[in-house]
Amino acid sequence: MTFLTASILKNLRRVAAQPWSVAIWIGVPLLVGSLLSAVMGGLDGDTPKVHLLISDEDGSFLSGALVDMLAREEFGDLLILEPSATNSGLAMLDEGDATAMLVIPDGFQRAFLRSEPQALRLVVNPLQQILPEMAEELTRLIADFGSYVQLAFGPELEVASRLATDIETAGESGPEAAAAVGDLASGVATKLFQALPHLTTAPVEIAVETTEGAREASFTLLFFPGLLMMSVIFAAQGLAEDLWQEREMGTLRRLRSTVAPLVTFLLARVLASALVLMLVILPLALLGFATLGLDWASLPLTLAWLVLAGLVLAALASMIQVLAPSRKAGALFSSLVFFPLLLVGGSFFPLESMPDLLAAFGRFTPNGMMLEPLKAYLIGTGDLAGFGPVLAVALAVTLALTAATAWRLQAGFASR
Amino acid sequence: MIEVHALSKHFGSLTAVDEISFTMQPGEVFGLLGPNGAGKSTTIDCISGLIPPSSGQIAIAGNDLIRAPRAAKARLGIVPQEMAIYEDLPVVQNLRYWGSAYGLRGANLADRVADVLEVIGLVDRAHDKPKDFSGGMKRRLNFGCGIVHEPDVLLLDEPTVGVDPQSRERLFDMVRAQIARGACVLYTTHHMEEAETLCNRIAIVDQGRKIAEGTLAELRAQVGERDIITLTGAFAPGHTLDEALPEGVAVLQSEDSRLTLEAEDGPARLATLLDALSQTGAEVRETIVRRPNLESLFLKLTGAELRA
Repeated sequence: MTFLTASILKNLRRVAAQPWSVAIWIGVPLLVGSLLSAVMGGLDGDTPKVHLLISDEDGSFLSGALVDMLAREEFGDLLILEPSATNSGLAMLDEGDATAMLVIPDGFQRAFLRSEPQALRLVVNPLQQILPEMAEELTRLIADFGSYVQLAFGPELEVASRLATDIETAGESGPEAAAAVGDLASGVATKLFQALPHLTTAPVEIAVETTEGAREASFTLLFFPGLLMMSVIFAAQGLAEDLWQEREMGTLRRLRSTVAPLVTFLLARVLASALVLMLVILPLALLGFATLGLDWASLPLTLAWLVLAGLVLAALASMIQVLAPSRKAGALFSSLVFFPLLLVGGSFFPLESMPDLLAAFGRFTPNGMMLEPLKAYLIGTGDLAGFGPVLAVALAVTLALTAATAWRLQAGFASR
Repeated sequence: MIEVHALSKHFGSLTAVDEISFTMQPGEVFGLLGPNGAGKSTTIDCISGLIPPSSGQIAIAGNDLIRAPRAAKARLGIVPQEMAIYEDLPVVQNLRYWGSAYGLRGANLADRVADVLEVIGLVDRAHDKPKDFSGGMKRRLNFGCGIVHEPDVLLLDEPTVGVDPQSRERLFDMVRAQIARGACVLYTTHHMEEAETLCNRIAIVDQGRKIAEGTLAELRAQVGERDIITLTGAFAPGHTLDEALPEGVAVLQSEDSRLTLEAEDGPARLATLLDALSQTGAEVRETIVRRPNLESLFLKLTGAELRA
């Protein structure tokens, strides 16, 4: 048994002697992933819906038509509509039971037909962030639609308004009213016939497409690689902290007085860490692949890539540890570096759910950089070529950090 | 077997080791005796290659430690003062690991591990983890890890710190076994009794300097056959005492409440001495008379207690 083999076995046995550490490295990401995934819509990728209360104070034909439009099937994926009185709707919003309330004020139809300014009132739930914005966009869409209708059919709306007033005041329809309706219908029909060729051959078509082979990316799928990376980060930190334990046990110091090279000691740590990382990632990866229905052929590359990511992060964590003046300081410095990396590097929240600036920063963190090509590969928007540049950087960084750690061990960390 | 010549080690303005030289031969236990902070451990650290000396030469079995560190270290075994074992690994795995760190492998390693288990008396606990062991058992394993590769030179840095008398005797037996196979042992301690029991030759160090060296008999001769008398109480100033002391009694150290004297045939002169002191107004509450030993030599050379 060479020293390299003995050293690898020693490292593996010492990790095996602390099963609770390994359980935490696996368990915490699993727990966080399960909770976040459940909160954000689960495995089926369901989009969270806007719970929109409708208070129709106008009670007119037009307000009814507006509500009918919102109730169309096309909006069904976005909206849950619920009729409500204004006061009770406000109470529901205060309780946080709805996203927003659209109030159609009394006189809405009359103002619309007379092309007078009219206001739809949208009350949003301040406790929610994204969904009220969706409701606002929807309301703005409706308002824009109304404005276009007023621009296109302004004279006809005016006639219709006068006609409606006459009917209300006269109580019945006479020959004049019939003639007015005929003119109105004729005017609308003429405009529609003129517009029809443009409407049927719309100059702009919007087609929603995804890359060939790409999967529909649910929150859980987007989060899954980050979840694995979280486990890798925990393991990398834990493995690096062992350097302080070796120092406090006096074994590093004793090793320095033997003929065994420190390089071999570090190489054994890297190889043992790779095995430990593989064992930590494997159960989570198997669970994720099975649950999300991912292509099993992607599993070996996923595991290998995450092990490499773990080695990069372990090299970084090791260097932090050997630069620290004490074990406590080492743990503190390590947390100061790795906790922000967890947060912004896509391991706690997918980069897709972050503000653009933060996501851009997150993509340049070590974990974010390693995460992006893997995520693209798993979703189907990336290929093997995407790993290339990051692989080169990862290997270079790992080598540089390990060399720096070796220098620090040689320079005194291992001799005290 | 080991030659240390003019070894010095400076930490900034502090001189931890100052021009220390000595040689050791096979089958010899060489003691470095001195109080805490005398430079013993720094000397060991330099010899074991943990810290580079500021100046001087160290050769182990003919190999210069600076120019041929690997060859020199291969002949060296170390039993550090602090425990340096993996408490979460079984005894046998500790021995295999440290054996492999010295280049042992295969059947040779297995044989050596089996031999060491016998020597340290842990055969029946070979597969247990040291974290559950007593302090003495851990010390034995710590010792075993240092001899698994059968070193020619063994460095023992205060190996009996915190060890009960029974375990200490066992440790001494293990050291004697190494001597019997032809190794030489550098043994640092601040326990005069250990040095007297175990060492063939002894160097007394203080404040980084070697102040005496020789066999036990040679060192004792430096003290002469003069006993050490230590008195506790209240005493007159030194110059008054010098005039009052009977012939053949001399002051080694004088403090307000403690007076250390050397005297030929101390017990016989004690009554005269106490009578003379009482005439100077001294009040003696405690009297200790000791036969000449290394401690008295240290006291004579440095004016301070060895255990201080």
